Amino acid sequence: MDNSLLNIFLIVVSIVGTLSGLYVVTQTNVFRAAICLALSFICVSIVYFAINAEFLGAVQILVYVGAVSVLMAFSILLVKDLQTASSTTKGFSFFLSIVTSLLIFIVLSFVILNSDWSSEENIKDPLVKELLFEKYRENPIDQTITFANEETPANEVREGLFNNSIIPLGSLLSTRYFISLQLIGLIIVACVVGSITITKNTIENDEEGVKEII
Amino acid sequence: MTLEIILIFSAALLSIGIFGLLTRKNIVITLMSLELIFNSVVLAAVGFTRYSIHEDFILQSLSSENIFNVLSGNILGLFIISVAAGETALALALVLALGKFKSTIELSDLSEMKN
Repeated sequence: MDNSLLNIFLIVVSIVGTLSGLYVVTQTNVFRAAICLALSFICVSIVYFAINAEFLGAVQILVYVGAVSVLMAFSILLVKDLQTASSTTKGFSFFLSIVTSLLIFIVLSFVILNSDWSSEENIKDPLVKELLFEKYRENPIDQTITFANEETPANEVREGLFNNSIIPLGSLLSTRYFISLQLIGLIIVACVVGSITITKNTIENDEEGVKEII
Repeated sequence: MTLEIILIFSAALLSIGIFGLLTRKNIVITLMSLELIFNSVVLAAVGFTRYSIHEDFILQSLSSENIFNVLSGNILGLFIISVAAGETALALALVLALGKFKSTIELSDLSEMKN
């Protein structure tokens, strides 16, 4: 995709995502807010797909749009009076909140627009370009990286890192970040066990007619 | 220019999330604002991974273990997404329990721990 076309596309998607995010925090109907939150997540995942992070885009759709938003919608439907009761702070504190968030946005934008980010246009080395965006050759013996051409055997040719990021990510997750991955799994199991315990107590106490705060 | 667009989108999501956290009293909307903030962080990490590449870092040692580290930001995003999903499940279970026993989900009504 041409870069200016990509920029226009990203601007449109960002505006849609920002507007739906604004709708989430200003809406009085909580169910509509959950739907708009899903739209905002979809916009973020479209950005991931557009900038060659397909794996993360798929994870975003599966986890956030498929699980988190649906979970929120379900809990909104299950709890009484949750759908409409939604008050905000008023007066001076509301004004202070607006000023705070606007200041954060303005300062961040100022820093972003005035910094010199080293971008992909600065990449001069042809091998690095091939390595990131085209194809490269990995020597199976000493694992050094060289250029790939037509005579290179097919089992030594690798796709560029941003062309096909799934294999490098899987390799990283199973070697260097293996312990972290297991720890994340443990955290998620703890969260699931905790939420099951809390909701199970809720149901049991309700059946016995006991009104206790957990 | 692409990185700047992504980062400004990320900053907008961050400030919207902070605005929601500061103003809304509804516990579910507060959770949604928290999710927006997490999203903005992951978006910034992925944008930097793709568009802010240091050539010298790659050329230091050209081996397959070293060059995969270019994608570390995606791994960070993956971990943040997983932890945020677990945290949301736990928080929504708490919301269900609160709605059952206290019949309120306003944060200003939950003040037993005060004083």
